[in-house]
Amino acid sequence: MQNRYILSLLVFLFIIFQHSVAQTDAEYKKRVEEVRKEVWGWNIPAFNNRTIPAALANESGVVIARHQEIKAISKTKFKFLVITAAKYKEIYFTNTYREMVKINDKATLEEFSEFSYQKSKRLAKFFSRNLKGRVTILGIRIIKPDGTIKEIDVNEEVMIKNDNDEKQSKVAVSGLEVGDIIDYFVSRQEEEAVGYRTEPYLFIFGDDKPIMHYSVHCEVGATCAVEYRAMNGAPEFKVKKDADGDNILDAEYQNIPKSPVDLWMSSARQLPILRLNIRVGGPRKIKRKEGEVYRNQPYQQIIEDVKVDMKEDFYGSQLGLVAEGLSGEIKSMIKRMRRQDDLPKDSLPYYIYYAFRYIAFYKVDANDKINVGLERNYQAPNKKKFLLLLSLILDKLGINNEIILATSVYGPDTKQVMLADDFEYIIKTTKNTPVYMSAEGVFTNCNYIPAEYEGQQNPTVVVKGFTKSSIRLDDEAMQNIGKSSAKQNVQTENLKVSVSDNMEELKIARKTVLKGQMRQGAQRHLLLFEDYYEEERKALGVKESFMEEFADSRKNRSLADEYTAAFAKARSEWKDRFISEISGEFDTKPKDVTSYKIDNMGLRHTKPDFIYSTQFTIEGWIKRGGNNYIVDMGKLIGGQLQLKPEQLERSVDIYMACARTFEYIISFEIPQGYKAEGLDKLAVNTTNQAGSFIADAKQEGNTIKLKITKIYNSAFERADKWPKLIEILNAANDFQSKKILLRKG
Amino acid sequence: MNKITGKLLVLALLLNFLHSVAYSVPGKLHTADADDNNVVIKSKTERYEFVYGNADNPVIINEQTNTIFRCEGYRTDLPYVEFYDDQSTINEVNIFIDGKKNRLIKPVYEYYSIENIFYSDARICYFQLPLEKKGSQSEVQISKTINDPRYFSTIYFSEPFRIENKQVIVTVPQWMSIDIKEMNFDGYKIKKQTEKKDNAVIYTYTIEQLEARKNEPRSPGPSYIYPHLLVLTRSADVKGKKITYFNALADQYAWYRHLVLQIGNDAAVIKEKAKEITKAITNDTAKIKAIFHYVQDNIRYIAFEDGIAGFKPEKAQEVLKKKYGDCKGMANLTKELLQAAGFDARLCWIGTNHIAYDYSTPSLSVDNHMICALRYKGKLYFLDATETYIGFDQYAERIQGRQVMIEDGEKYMLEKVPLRSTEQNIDLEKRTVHIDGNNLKGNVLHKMGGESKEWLLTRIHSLKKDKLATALQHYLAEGNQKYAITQLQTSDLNERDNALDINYQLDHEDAVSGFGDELYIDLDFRKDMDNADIDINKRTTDLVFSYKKYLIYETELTIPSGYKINQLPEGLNIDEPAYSFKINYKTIGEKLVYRKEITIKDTRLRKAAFAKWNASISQLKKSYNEQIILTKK
Repeated sequence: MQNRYILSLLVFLFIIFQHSVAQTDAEYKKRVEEVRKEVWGWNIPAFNNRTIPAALANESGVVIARHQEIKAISKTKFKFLVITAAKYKEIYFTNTYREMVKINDKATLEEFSEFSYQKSKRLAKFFSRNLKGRVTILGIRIIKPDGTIKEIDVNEEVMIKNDNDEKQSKVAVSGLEVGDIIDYFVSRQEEEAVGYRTEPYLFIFGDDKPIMHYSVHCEVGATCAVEYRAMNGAPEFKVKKDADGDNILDAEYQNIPKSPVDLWMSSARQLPILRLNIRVGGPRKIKRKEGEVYRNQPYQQIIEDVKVDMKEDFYGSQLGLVAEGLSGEIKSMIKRMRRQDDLPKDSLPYYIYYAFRYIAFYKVDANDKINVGLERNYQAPNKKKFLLLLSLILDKLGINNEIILATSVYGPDTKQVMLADDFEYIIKTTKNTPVYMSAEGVFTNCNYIPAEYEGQQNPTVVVKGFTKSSIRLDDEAMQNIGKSSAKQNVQTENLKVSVSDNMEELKIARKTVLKGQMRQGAQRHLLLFEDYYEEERKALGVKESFMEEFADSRKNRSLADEYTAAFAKARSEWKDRFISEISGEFDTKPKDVTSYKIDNMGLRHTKPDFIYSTQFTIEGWIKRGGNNYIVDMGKLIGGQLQLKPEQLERSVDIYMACARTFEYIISFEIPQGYKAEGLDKLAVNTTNQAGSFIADAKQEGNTIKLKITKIYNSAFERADKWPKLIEILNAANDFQSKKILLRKG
Repeated sequence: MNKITGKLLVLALLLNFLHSVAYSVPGKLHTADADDNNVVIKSKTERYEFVYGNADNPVIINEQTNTIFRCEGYRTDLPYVEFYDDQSTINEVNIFIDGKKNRLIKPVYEYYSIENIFYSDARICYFQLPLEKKGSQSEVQISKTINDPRYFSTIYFSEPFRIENKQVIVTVPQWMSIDIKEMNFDGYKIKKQTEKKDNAVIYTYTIEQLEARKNEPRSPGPSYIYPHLLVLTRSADVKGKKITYFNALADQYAWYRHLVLQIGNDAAVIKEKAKEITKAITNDTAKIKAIFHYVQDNIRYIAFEDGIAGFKPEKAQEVLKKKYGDCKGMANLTKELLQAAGFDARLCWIGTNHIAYDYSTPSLSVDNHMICALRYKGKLYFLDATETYIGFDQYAERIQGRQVMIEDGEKYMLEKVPLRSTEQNIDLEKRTVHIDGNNLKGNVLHKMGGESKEWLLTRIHSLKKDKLATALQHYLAEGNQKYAITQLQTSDLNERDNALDINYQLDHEDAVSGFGDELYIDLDFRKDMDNADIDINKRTTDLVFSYKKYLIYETELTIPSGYKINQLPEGLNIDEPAYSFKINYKTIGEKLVYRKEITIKDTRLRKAAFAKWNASISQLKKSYNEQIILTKK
């Protein structure tokens, strides 16, 4: 009897399964038909418009209408498992994006001539064998100038992935010509069974084409929570409830001009943006009330969310346990260090930071893959987990600290945050002089704050205590993160220049010093793991290098040889890195690079500058005129930013990476038998509120001494300062064409 | 630290802190770094055997490759890639790490996307093959089937890694007739052995110590540079039934033709379109041009390489409707439209200059392109509408001088696409300037033809219309703000048969340097080829220029009153068979004329000529460094 029951159950399941598979293709087609009918039938007058205003006639393409429709519902379900039962949600998400674009040239035609998309994808399989997963439906119509509408058969496709779990397809739009309007939609429909999900959306009211009409419509079931935020002048949602208690949100924006998107912008702070997040479920996760719409929530709420996230990270990665183990290891490192060096108490947070960085990025285990090339220099941590763990370790080792919830200048500020992920972490120690800690990567110094987080006002969270398995968090006051000045972020180029014997090349001995925010890129590009590992190991008092360890071990002895071979390969490729650095800096490839070395790696706050020396020759910067020679002195300051004609006018604020100084200290040796002329023409002084470009030249004996300084006073400038910045840029560009004459006799 | 914490730590660090490195699919011709000797192929055996297949594929080729890699320096993972397509299947992949079979590595099979090709049937099977430590060996055994002997056309010896020993064994049963051509064997020690066994001939080629394949930009196609076997599949006698593959070129043509006959062009639709395009045009040449330019202008080139569809053109009416097509589709549409307008137009098969062979060796490797031929008043013209901005009777370098197979009913004609002189691609810039303070001011005229024009127009039309004018200025000024351009005018940017004219007013700031009574002037703003030196120590292959170049750069300077010229630089006159660089200065009354001519006569610069080339470039640079001096009278 029992067997029969099991058998019938199996048969029943089998039938359902068979049925769902057999129906897939037909169902898909039916669904496509329904979606097509619905989307093409949308009653949005903007999609009936065919007229482009005269002012937009010369645009490459014009978005006549864009509409995005989001639908979300969720249902709670139970699934009986072998031993127990689980509660989960079946969710149904639909995101339909329709756009109608007038095509005015071949470049825009090219943009819309092919569509490549994921047609279907199975999502979480366990709970949702019968759910469809993700299905994307594409519809394309062409509206000819005479008004005739032709729909493209999107089944004329090529499959570029065709597995059971995923299908990807490509469609070439047939019959599309300049002068046509393309009207297309992409509808992504998802059915999934999960316990928890957030689905953030971003509606940006700005594009590289003007948009005549942009509307958003959301229908969110009563079992979901919605939060949204309107930024930078974006329209607010109009919210209402329908008969079923679902939330209906609508927003609309018209006549959006083409947005500038290229130079020194922060779109998140400059373009009107509407952000929306739909939350489904979540027992221990961030909670919102089902059926509620949360408009522009206060940042205090997001801080609470961050705390939930922190706890999730803490429990999920067992950070309490890891922190205990690691603080033990660092403690013994400190003990060893104290035996050989007097480690003052106030330097302890620094030691801990560098020890932790060493464990994460420098230390080599016999099981690691051999990775000693450029790729290693570009490793970056999961910042939040890295810093939370570091905060716990600091705490464990007696260093009080708090976590600043930092906002990037390229994202929303504290008052505009909507999601916990809008915050990054920066650690600040709270006893004595504060020490800041961030986690950009392999070369990040202790007490360094990345430029993008500077100048922000941010909340703070503190770990009040933790054990292996629990953590307590608390709020602290708002903090201002300072801005670094142009004096702190400096690139200094010391150039000793002479002329080759054949008078055809300039010989340059260069020493480069990079300070503050100017270091990281060059460090990543030029440092060798073999060197920085060794320097840090010694600085931390780690007795034995991994190479020595391996050489002493019978099991890993051959590994030492292998690392020697890998180091040799990395070193053999090193010169090319310097050649590319010089080429990038001076906008020309050096003829010959004869010497290159690192003078200071800038790994620590105690010796923070990155200093390196190069010697090379450059052709074409000395030219012959009769018996005399012209030297392109201006080129010695390297390539300068050249504005494109369309960048000369600017009405939006300017977001640069940081305030900064470029300094060129040049001594040019006049060849014997020649006199230098034209030094007076090298002097420049352009100084204004945005910065300065100053050049000063004098002759001392047989040497021309040249000092050039270019300063950008601030990372941020209002749009009305653009002419002032252009003055500085122009002065630098003008200087590039400065020459002196070497006259014979 | 106890063990558990240690494990947790490793987990935490690896999983949470370090971003994983993206697993990338390697390129088709994956090559090792130039100096990368970390991995070597200790031995590779490739066996090919013709065997009987089934009714659909009466003859198939079984391919079995065994590759043993050895780690020379340090442990690593190497990307192993095996290609296959609609005409071939991978039956089995076995991986051995240090002699032990590994079942954990799961090869991934997927479509391979090739840049600029919309769709191809090429697929890859790939995986990361570990080499566990220095001296260790990993082996990959692959069994593959090629389903149609026509597609079995080349066997290359080179690999992405240095090879110590490689054997290629081809077993040809008596009932199978093939020819094996040994290509680019000069300079390589390749041993060949022929053995008769069990009613079959076994060809064994052995090569030792072969350098890794290198990807160098602007290299000739692989068929020119790497040693390989070209397999010409003639015929088979399958259990008494003779199958002819490509016994002679006529067979290859017949095979192509049977595909062409299946196209199904709709004459009525095409006739209607041809009528519309040529409406109100009475002149024949104008009609031909109108049709050619219609296809160039209105059909987007989208490349398909899809099994049999890779050889069969799409219906003309379909291409017309879709407004896109590959070379075959565009050639077929051009041909059909021309025929509908009453002209004698034919389809042509052609191998571009990327391929070393011609039709003397019938094989699917001989051609890679299709164009249209037109016979008009006894003369043959070739139309390649995939070259969007080239004029009628102008030819791109890639097809110039190439043998072309033209359809002629049941027969075919073999012709050659005419060669064009460098003048076709003229790129002339003439500046008429005077000195104004430190500036050079005046008028500039550009004239561009052939492939120079096509190069520029292709870029221009890829730009958005609203940015076009400023982008053209930016290009002409080479991004130099001091090269100020105003009153920019161009001839029709959609015109194909005439040269492209560009005209503007120039104010070149700080182009004149005054020292005492002297003015120093650099008359050459462009300095073409000043960084064209070749790194002789690194480069291993000949260098190929994309097209023959003919650059003329002329500056006519009005000498300001009260000034005289001190002395004129010597100029330059280098004339080599493959190229010439000429610079001269002359005065005509109150005018000083600087004229530079750079001609690339042969697009292939051979390795043997590199040293001379570098010396010539050095002289050119020296010449560029000469300044004109004007002195106050």
